[in-house]
Amino acid sequence: MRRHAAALMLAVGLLGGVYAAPATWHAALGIAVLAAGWAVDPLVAKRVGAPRRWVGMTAILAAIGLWLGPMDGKLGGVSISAAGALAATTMTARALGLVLLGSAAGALYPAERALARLRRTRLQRFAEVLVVALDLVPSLVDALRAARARMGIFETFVFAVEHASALADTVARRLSAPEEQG
Amino acid sequence: VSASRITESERFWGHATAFGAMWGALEATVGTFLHALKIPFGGTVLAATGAAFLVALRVVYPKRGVLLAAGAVCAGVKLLSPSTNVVGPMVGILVESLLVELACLGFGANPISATLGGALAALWALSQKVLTQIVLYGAPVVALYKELLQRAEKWLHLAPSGGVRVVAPFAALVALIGAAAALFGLRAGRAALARRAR
Repeated sequence: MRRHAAALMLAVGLLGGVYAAPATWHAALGIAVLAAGWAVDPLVAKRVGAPRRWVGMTAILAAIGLWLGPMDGKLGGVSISAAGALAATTMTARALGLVLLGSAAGALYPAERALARLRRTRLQRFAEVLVVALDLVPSLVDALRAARARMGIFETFVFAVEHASALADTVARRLSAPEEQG
Repeated sequence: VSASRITESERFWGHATAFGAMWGALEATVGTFLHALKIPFGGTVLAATGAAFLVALRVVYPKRGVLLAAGAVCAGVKLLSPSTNVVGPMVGILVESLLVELACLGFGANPISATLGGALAALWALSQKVLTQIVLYGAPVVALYKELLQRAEKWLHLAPSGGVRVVAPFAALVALIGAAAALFGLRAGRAALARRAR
């Protein structure tokens, strides 16, 4: 829990830095937070994505910025946009901050806890149907794959609709007598 | 429990649950296929598939609100799935179900509402991609897209229109894909209904 909270603080710090610090600092801030994230909370850092992915994204954005931004510099006689490249580092740092914030918040308050809480409210019926739907999905995926292996696309789609329609009656019965179903 | 003891509310939620779960299964199956083949604009294809399935649901169970409820169930399934990328697909599913629900609100599932709902759902998938990028990367994304579209206009020798002449045909194509898929769903829903009646 403390690790997740620390990751959340890192995200807030990075977003604050993106707004407060000059653009030339944003790349360094992003790298520092990414490294600190892996050190502090590897679980959340994994959800944020591999550092390689972020480096790749920054490179692509920087290349687009160099090409499409206002031409304010020269590199080997070719006009480039330094401001565009700098804007790309700001964009990536901001995206990293937001993704880290979402991942840390998700780890601090997992969906299962939200579902348990939902069960105690007036939305109890919705929580019930969600549990039933979650139970159904794996077998439905198997059924769809099996159907696709022997049918065309249209027939598979009709099968999906027909199967769900038949299942709806069973689910309705289950909802009407949950205590009997256990 | 006899069928007569099932209330309309239970029947409603039964359909929302079964179709929401099946939509989740469809997303997983089609999504895996698209991912494996690295098909571009996979989000649009997934949205079109979802719209088709929603239209089919409205055919077999013509009750107002059921599409939105099925969307909420499917989004909930997505939220609780072990995948790391859940927020984007969840928002997409909810908005798509809302758009198809709105299209079918007046006169149920028919060729016109299906065309409208499918086109809106597919266009949303495209817009959501751009909106997500704006939220994540900030306002510079808009300037980048504008610049890119203006350059595309120059390459294609089109009259300057601020990118509209490039975006409009593309958006029309996406809307057409969504509409065609939803009409496919309408046909599939009718076929399923006929089979169940037999």
